[in-house]
Amino acid sequence: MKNKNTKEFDSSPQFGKSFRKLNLFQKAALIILFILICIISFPIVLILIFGLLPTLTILFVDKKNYDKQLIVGCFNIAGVFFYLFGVLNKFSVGQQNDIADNIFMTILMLGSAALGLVLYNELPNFYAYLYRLVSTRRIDKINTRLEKLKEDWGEEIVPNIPSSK
Amino acid sequence: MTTDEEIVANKPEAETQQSSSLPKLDNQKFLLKERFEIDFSRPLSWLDNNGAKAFAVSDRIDTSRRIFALICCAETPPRISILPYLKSIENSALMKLVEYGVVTFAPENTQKMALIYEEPLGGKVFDNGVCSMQIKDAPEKFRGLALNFMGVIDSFKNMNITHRAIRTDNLYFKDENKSEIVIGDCAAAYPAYFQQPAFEAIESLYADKVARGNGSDKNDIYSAAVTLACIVLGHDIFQNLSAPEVLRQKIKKGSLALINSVEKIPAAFSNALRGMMNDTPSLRWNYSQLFSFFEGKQVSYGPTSASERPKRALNINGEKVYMPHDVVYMLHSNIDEAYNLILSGKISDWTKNGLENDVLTTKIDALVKQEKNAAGNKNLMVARVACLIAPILPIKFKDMTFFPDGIAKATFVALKEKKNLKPFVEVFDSDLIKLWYQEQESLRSPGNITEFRVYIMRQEIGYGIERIIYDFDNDLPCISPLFNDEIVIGAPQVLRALNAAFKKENISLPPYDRTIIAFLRCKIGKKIDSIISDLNSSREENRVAAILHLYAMLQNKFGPAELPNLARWLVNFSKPLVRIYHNKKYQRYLEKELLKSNSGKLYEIVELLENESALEKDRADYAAVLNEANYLALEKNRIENGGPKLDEEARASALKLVSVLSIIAMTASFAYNLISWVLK
Repeated sequence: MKNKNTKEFDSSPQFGKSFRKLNLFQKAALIILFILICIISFPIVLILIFGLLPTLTILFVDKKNYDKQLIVGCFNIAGVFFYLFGVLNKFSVGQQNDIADNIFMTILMLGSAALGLVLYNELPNFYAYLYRLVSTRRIDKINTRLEKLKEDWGEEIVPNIPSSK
Repeated sequence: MTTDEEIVANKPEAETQQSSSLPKLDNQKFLLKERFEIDFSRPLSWLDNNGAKAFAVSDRIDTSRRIFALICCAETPPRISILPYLKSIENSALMKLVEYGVVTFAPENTQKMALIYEEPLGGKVFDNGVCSMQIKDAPEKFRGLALNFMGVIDSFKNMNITHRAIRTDNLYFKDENKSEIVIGDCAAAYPAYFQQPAFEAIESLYADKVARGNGSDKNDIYSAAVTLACIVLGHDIFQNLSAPEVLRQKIKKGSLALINSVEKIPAAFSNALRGMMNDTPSLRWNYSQLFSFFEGKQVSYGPTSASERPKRALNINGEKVYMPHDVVYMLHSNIDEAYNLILSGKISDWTKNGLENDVLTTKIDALVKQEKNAAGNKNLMVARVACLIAPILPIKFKDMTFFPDGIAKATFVALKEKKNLKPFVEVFDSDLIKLWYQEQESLRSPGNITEFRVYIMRQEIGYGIERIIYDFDNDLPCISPLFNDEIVIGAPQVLRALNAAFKKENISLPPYDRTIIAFLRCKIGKKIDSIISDLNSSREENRVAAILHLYAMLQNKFGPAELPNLARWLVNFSKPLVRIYHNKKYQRYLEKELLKSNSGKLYEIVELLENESALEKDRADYAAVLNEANYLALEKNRIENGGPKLDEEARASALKLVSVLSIIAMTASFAYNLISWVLK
């Protein structure tokens, strides 16, 4: 699973390999194209850089934790989509100044990432707690049933299974 | 062997157990067959005979009839097998057996066999050893009396039974005029058990009293002859002599000569008596020979003992002995020397040159050869050779001397008195009885004789020495310690006796033992072989089920309808059978129901405990519950031992769930915003 995840997400070396195979002209053209796109869609790039900060942080800090990257990233992107599609309607070069000013959108982008982080950290614990609770109740039920069976059919009905504890 | 069917077919015996269920009139009376009222408060001691006590009886139908009852004692049980025949004999010289049956003997409050006879009206013929009839001067009377006696013996012979109780104190005057003499009871005790030594032939005197066996008509003829001699003499003879002394003198002098040596019998009687009292049984006169003699015809007495005497003697223990009887006697008296004589071939030499009997010599040589190949029991070897030398004598083995048809009774007594049974086991485990029968000219061995060794070797319940005695002798009652003093003469009485003998302190004992099962096997037959096989099972519940089935079957067949005590006993005994049901609740239900079933009907207990549908349901439920319990126990074990691993699994599942949620949230957000953007 981990290996699969690694293949899925660790695409930069492949990209690097493919990039190195290109000739100088192609490389230069690509870089120019990328710079141009960045200049043309500067507000979007800025939103993405700002909005995806939590995800980028995790990508750098917790490189191997793919589950965390996936969950926080997905939630983060979900929050970023609200602002990103809002920007597309009134696209201008000066738009980027509004980004920092729109506190609601900032909270939405970063909050969604935070929600993902909270879910990642706490849901497994909660889930394990629930599971333990269910198990205890199941054991109680089993014990009650076994006692009833012993009462009705005798002690020998319950097999003596040695505990590995 | 009396089988179950035979018992049912045998009406008198079937009636026997009906009678015992009839109500008692009062404490001192018992009504037998709804007709004969036995009054235990009116003993008739002058009619006491063969160990039985006599009591007055009144006939409710023929009130003028004079009858009495002989109540048989428990020590010497009656000859049950001859009773139906005895009842059917009509002979004016024999006391008529009117009826018989098991009665409750009020003075002891026990079940005993009662024999109802016609009462002799003229009293006893011999009073204190003196005869009240004078025939010394009346040869015709002697003739009539002798033929009457021989007629009675012939009647018995025709039915293949014997009297074995013809003696002076068993003679009665039939009528008040004292003109007719009748011979009294012969069935109240073992055959010849109460015979005084004077009335028994030499060969019978050799045997132990209890083991004289039924014998043959030759024994009765001898007894009749001595009785006639006493009547002629007017008194009893040899009353002061012990049995061994009488035997010794009879061997020494011969029976008739011995009597003549004490008091001369007139010549008019002695010739007839000589023929009847011949010491060689095969030469004793029968009815036709005696009749011919009285008709004046010439009848042979057989060879004289002097002409029979062998030419050569055998030296045993420093004594010279000639006659086979004497040789056998000396061999048994000196076992070690006898064994050496046999093995050294001196006995063979004597039989060859003294008796001049080559056939006998060959047989003894074969035995010696066999013995040399595998040295065995000295007593057994001497007994075998004795059987060959004098086949008319009883078998002597260790301290026992018995006729084969009397060994069952001897074993019965030993069993009853808790004596050492080892010698009996050795006899049954050997070929002695078979060998004895092979040497008899006029007797055939019983068909089941070959099975004795098998029965002895098998130690299981239903086999062993108990099986042999009941298989070999139909007279013997069942003597289980569980019965107390109850007389049990057939399968129908077993349950009744168990029910009557039940005591609270016995409740923990099984309601059966080896004796009862062996007895029932002999009386009922092969039908209960499967039950016996279950009784020998190592599983307790099989044994319980077997005994329940057996007793329920007996109750259904023979009654009585209610056996409350036995039912209680069986209920307590059936606990292992309750435990074959796995369900505890059902077990408790069964126990409660069993306690409730106090009707005394044994089949109700069987039905309750062996309900096929309930048993099947219990088994099916148990299998299902066992599966469930296994599954639950495994699951419990998995949960309890799973701990951290299960936590990890829960966390992994939670992560998967959150991952999916995050992707869904992202996709939903994208779709929502895209649709909003397009619409704007």
